[in-house]
Amino acid sequence: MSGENNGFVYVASLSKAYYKAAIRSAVSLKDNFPQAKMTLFTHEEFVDESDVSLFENIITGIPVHIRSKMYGIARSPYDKTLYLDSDTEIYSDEIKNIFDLLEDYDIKFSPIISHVSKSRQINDDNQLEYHGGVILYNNKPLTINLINDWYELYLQQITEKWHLSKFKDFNPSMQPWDQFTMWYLLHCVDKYKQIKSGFIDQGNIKWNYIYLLEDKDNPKNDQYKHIDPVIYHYTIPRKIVDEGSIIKPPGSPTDIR
Amino acid sequence: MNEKRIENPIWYNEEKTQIICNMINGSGRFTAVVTKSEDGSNPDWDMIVAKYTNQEIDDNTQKNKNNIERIKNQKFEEYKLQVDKSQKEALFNVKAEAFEIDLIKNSSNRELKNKLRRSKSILEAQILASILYKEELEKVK
Repeated sequence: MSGENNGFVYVASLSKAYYKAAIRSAVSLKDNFPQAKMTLFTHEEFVDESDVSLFENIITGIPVHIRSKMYGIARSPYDKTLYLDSDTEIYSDEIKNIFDLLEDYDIKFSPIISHVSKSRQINDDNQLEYHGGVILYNNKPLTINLINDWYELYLQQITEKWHLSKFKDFNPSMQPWDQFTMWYLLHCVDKYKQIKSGFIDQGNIKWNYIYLLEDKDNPKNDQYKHIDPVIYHYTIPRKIVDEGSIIKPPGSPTDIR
Repeated sequence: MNEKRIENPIWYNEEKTQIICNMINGSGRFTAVVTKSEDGSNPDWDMIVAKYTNQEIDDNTQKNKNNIERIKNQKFEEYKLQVDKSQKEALFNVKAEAFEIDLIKNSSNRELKNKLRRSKSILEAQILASILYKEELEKVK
């Protein structure tokens, strides 16, 4: 642990609402972990001067794309990184233990909770398990290659005709999901089979507590009601995202390398 | 071509002396309430009871009640969801606005800030934001 340069990465693209959410999340992180180092990837036009001192780095000029998060994830300046979606908040100082939870793994994710997510059946034997909102990873070259390939393959996945693509043997409903791309890379691409991946803290959802689990009317939530979140994950209301200085994707900057 | 037809008859009163149904004739389709006359002189009533048994009208009436109940429940659920969504959005806005106030954003009272983040109602969020604001304002003085 000592001597390691560990930190947190946020990516805010497309709408100022994501930027503002990332700032709120960063403030909550600093409140609970004052020594936290943070890097924000965003668009220059979003940045407010008063927020600059919160971060170790603010990196602008990122691609205008719904999945530009992969751009930021791949460019983390830290040895161990926790990527956090913008629409998260830190509720507890337990966050300072997060980097120890990587252990000897290369990359760890929080689990998808099936009843608060859409159907994620990949094929008869497999379903998506890794949530993309909170990702803990190291900076080994193979891990970084994996993340770069994640973006490139994802672009291929969403643009190619499914039945003619390399994904044709899998459920076509997987086409929009970047979590499927990650699953494909980890399970179907030989060079990434040596990547050690798993769940953060054996899948304890306090590290990515989805707000829908608070709904007391849903009996499936009963098993989660005693969990005290460390990372709370909400969703920004659509109206606010749409109102928030949307930058229209020009359609060209898809090559992030 | 102008032959009168009756569809979906259901009891209109508990005494079963009135029936509401769809009536179709040369001028179109309309809803009619048909009343049983004491002297048996209502041809529409006679037409209905000739075509439908009491049991069939009972069944229709029950089906109709069930449908009304289902639609009512569905509408209520939609209304609840809408109210819930609006409340969540309003709560989100209150918290977002609170944390855009520099005095609150930069406050060192982490405990109260965490409470504000976790607050579950607009009132709770407003109270906590006010306390934090006042506390920070006093420090400035």
